[in-house]
Amino acid sequence: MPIALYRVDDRLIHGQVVEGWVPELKINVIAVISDDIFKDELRKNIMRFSAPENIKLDFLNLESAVNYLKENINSKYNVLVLFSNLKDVVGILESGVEIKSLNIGGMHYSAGKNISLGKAIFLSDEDKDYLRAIEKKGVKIEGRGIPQDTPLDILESINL
Amino acid sequence: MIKIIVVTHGDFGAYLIEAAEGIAGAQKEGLKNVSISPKMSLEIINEVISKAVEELGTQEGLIFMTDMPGGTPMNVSLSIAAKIENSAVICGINISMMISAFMNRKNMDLEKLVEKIVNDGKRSICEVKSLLKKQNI
Repeated sequence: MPIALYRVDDRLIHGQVVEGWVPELKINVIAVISDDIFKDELRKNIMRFSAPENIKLDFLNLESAVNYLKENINSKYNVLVLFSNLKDVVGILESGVEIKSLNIGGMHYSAGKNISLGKAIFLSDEDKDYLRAIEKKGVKIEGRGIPQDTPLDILESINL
Repeated sequence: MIKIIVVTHGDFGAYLIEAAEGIAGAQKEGLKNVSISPKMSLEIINEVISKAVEELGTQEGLIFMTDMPGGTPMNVSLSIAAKIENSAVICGINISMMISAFMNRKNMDLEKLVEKIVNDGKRSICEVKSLLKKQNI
């Protein structure tokens, strides 16, 4: 089993991930890819507490994530990869990692994110450009908080 | 008196406070509720909780009462509580724990109160029919 899910969620490990995606995809490993978190011992410790006991947690910065993701394509574990923003996904794709599909779970409101798609997805103009760049790399993009939600075609929504 | 801030998914905490107050009596001071909506960014959640903490004051001790372990209310509370020496973060709250907190926060220190709330919470969870059968009631 390769990477089971690539997800963008600015809350990273939280209820939707722990109770929703982890059991649904029988996840064994959660990889958090973020330069900020990689340096932040407090947030790493909070996430270690938040994750279920039988889940292995890997924290990576963008640089170390490239080889990690390439190696885990043939992993015997089910890996859930979490990004906190779209820019990091673009960076990873440009480093040559192949991603078939990307789940957008949560991109919460902040200044400039004026395009609202449902409850937890707010996009800035820059985010729209990132999404188009990601799609150009052949990645299928869906918006979905928990497995039971109906997937949202985000590209279609921003092109309307 | 130990101050209490309740942080939960949606309005769960507000209703829980209302229900617990119906049993333990109205809490006129030293209590704040923060309802976390799925629309709020971590930044905004952090701001709202920090403001509530500031208003409550932390001198006499402060307990964050949060709902699910690993959920956003607990995660953000933990990162704020890490900077407050005289504080604790409890997760998994239910009505027994709220009542326990309300009833005992005037006459216990932080450590004792936290222990009491957690124990009262754990004791309140059971399947009652099988328990009664065991006791031949």
